[in-house]
Amino acid sequence: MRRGVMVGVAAGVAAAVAVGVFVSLSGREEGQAQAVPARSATPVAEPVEVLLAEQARLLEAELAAGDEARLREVVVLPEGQVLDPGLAAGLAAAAPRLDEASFRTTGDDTASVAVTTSADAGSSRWTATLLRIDGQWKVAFTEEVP
Amino acid sequence: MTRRFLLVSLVAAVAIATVPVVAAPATAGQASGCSDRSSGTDGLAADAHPVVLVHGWTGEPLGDTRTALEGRLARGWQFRLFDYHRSSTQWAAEPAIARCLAQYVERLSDSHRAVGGDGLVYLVTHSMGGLAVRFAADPRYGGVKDLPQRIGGLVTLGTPHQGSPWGNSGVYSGLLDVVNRINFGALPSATSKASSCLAAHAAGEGLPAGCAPPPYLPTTIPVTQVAGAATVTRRLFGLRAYDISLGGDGIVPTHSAHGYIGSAPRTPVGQIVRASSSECGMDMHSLLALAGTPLLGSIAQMRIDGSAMDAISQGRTSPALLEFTGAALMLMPCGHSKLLTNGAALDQVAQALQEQTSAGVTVADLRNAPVPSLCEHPAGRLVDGSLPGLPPGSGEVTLVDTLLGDLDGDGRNEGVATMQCTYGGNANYLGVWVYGRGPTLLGRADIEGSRPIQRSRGVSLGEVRIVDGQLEVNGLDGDEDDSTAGPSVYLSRRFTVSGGRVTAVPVTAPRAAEPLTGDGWGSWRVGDSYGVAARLTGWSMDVDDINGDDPGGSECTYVHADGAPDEVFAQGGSGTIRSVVTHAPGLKTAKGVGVGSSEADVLTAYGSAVRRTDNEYVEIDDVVVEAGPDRVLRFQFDDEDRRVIALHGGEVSWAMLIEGCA
Repeated sequence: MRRGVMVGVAAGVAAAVAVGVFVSLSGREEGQAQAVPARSATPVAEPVEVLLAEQARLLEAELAAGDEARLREVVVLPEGQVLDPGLAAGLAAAAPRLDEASFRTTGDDTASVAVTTSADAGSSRWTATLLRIDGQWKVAFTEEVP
Repeated sequence: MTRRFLLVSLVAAVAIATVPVVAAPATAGQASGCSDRSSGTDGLAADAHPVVLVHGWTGEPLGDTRTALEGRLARGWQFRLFDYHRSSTQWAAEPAIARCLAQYVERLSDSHRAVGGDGLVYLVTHSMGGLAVRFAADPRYGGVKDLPQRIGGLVTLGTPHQGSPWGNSGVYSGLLDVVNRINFGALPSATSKASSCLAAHAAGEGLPAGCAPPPYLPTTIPVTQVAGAATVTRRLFGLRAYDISLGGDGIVPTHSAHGYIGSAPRTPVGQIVRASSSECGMDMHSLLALAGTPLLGSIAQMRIDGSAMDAISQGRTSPALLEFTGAALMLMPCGHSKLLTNGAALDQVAQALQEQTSAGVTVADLRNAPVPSLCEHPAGRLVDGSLPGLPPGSGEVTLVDTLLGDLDGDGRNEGVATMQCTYGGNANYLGVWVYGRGPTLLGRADIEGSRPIQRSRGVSLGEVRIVDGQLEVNGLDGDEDDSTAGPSVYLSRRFTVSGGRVTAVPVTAPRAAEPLTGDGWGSWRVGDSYGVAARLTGWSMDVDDINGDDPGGSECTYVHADGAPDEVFAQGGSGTIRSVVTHAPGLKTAKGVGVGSSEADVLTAYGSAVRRTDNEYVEIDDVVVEAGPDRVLRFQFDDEDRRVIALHGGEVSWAMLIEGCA
């Protein structure tokens, strides 16, 4: 097989594999995010997901609870992963605040949202990548906004 | 091709394990022949160390690495690039790599020697390039018998000394799909020897049939191993959540990159082997953002007990793990692909080169040094101080003593080996040899010209020492006319090393035109020991004890020098030259008076400085002239024609002696 052919086959299969992975993550269950009608006037309205204020406050509360068990409920983590002992306390001090107005979906079960942390804890502006797992949005990654 | 596509391909390639992967088409250079893209081997400077950079599997000449190292190392280095890119998907042991590399290093070494250098070549290698050097240095693979003597040191960067979990495994094709695109594209087949021989192993255990473990280098070659050690940190809002260690650079586990010892049977003893790591870290989100991975969710939930490479080696692979590892090896600063330009890693390479070149010869080197043919025994290599393999009863070649010191001024020690040999049970040869790095035999420190020191005559080698950067060899030879008298010939020479050769320090023997004075004759100086006199004049000092006692300690000796004219000799006492005496007409004083001159000539020349001797043992009056503090010239006359028959110069009490010590 020529290399180019092989790459093509690989890419095709990879796409299928990737889709499979995301399908398995999405769950498609009723969750805390709600679908609302799109503003466009297209004949078939696509649902636009939003992060409700109460959802955002709940995430903030769990992130800043200072309790590792509650933290694990809202962060995408490997099961049984040992966390840095200072993480929960550090997040409590950082007191992340989510700007629900900035919430944007980026895929079937991925989204981003702007977050502000306490100036006392260092950097203050972040973009958080959220993943929906079992219908619940959880924090997967955070990236500092320059 | 985008990074995202690369990673997708990696995942796909693993996922489609049942899809056959076919070897890349053979290129013109694969079958035979060596690349002509390697750097030229000429144009070397004698006083700079040649360094060859050897790329790895699917790699290309390491031009960027050369530039980076040139920026780190000041003068004294000259880099060359070895290229085998057309064959770089073959296994390191194969002729297109090992043999070509051996021949290249040999040519470079020859070129360095031709301009007066020591001919030692240093090798800096990436990945499989390190294994290529190990195979090349073994004549069974490289075909150059004395190549180890031409290698000054080896530095490996991310070399899989003990293989890689990717090798000979089901996930190999997925990995190589990524790696080949990082470099230039050729892809060994998943069933090739190249991939199967990359298998993880311990001392060869675990290698598939047909794959030999890389041979150890001779213990005289220092090895420094630099590993990449990558750690990915998961952070939340800048706070560390946990780390995932790769356990290596993504291709080579740290234990393998540091695994020279233990990579083949029969662990070498006495070899200088060092290991260091270039550590790096990256935020997980940054890494995955760079890679454009579609598996964010999977990776965020990926849990690894131990390190990523441990998980791979234990078969706990998953698409997420492969993608994560692939991203790390490509993108992290100490990942396998980035090691070649990683500043910290290159700092360690530069330091290693400096250490290897400054280490110099060791005693262990000398105990395992090559020796020339001695006492009719063939040339060979010492093993722990003795030449092995000699027939029983035929004698021996053994190392007697060693000395280390810098003899060429380059800051590295040369080695000095005193060796003796016997043949048929008779001890009959003793000599001093000088070695450079390797160790390479630079030459013999001859103190008797071509004549060996024959222990059978009771000869002993005197002190061998290094003084002012010069090797001084002193010897005591027996009296050929009287073997019962004990050692009486004093020998001494000094040597330096220049251009990789042993050179005797020039001596200045007294010249006929130089006058005899109260201080002696030229470099044959009153007040010098016999050994110093021998060294300065280049003559051996044959000391006869007038009273038959030990000449060296006797209170009165005659000292005959092998290079002095007939009838010119010295008198000595307590190991020191006391006066020089001539009965020959050629040697004269500064005023032109010598043997054959008349008494009138002496009186005319020296006038009022002349005084007569008052010697109770003679009937004639000799003429004596003061010649400095405690120094005189004494003119001894024939009692009939009053012409000078002997001229003495030296200490007062010795120059006045008439015969022997009387």
